[in-house]
Amino acid sequence: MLNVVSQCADSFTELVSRHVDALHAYAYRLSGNPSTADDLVQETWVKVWTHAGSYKVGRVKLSTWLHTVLHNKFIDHVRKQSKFSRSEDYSDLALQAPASFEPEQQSQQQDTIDEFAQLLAQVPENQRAALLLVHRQGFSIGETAEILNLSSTATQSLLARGRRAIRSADTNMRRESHEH
Amino acid sequence: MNIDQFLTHLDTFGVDLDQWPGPLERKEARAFLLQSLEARQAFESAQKLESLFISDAQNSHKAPKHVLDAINKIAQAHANNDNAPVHLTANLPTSSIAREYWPTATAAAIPLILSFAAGVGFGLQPSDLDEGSIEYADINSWVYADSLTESTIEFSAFFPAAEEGLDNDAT
Repeated sequence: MLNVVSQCADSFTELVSRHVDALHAYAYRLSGNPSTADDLVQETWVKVWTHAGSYKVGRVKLSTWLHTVLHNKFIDHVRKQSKFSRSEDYSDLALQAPASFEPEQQSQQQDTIDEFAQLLAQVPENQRAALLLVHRQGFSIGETAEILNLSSTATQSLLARGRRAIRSADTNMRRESHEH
Repeated sequence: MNIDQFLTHLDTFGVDLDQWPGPLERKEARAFLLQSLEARQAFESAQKLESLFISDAQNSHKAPKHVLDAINKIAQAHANNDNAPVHLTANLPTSSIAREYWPTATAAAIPLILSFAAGVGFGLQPSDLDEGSIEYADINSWVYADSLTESTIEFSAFFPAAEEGLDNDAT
């Protein structure tokens, strides 16, 4: 990271290759749109390149800082969206099962992934972010609080509301599938 | 423990009962799980959801190659020309909003710019007009009249040179 601060392109490329997949996965599930995820990730790395000096080594983990930058970009994006009165179409979230699976296993896996995408779509953005950061990206409550710029208590509360929201969405989906 | 307390704890502390606060509450929660169908259903749903997040994290997600290439270009462009200022905006992706709205914004701006340029070009400034010679009402009537013949002032009043040119041509 120190090499990136001194604008070493090779170190930057290495840093990108180490973290870009995780950041893109988070951006994709958070925004629900592949092209928005691409934009958010690219803007994040531009910010990292130009503001690498603002990362304080030892204060937070690098992955926490990268997710913070991305999350701030996402907030900017949501604000722009609401300004233009356009909501994100979460139906674009077409996650793919890994190609390494057997066809039958892959189809089963795809059903699970589709269900996951549908459930995520029904949770408000801030709760979705907390759920993804803790349960998918593997951050602690403290790290998630840092990324979301909230207190630990507020993050716990957001996470609890997110868990409740996704659980109700799951219950509703199951009820609907039983009725049809 | 009642169902509301159980669900609040489930949403706050997750499905790992060992992480719930207090040994007494953990014991009560385990006993409540055995006796309440609603609690069991909510608990199973929460377990399933947590496993969905975990299995999604285990699926290897790859960022698209074009994204990776665009990011690496940023650093390479700078590395190839150390003394030059980095024009990062050249590598910035155009956001979906910008992509969608720029043609509309440009189309709206063109008439404004042309009108402004025409105004400056014609020099229709109050200070340019001799007091009492031409009233603004006359200018407006000339600009907005349906027919130029209905105008109360002559075009040549603004452009004497044009009149002269016509005279010259006539001679």
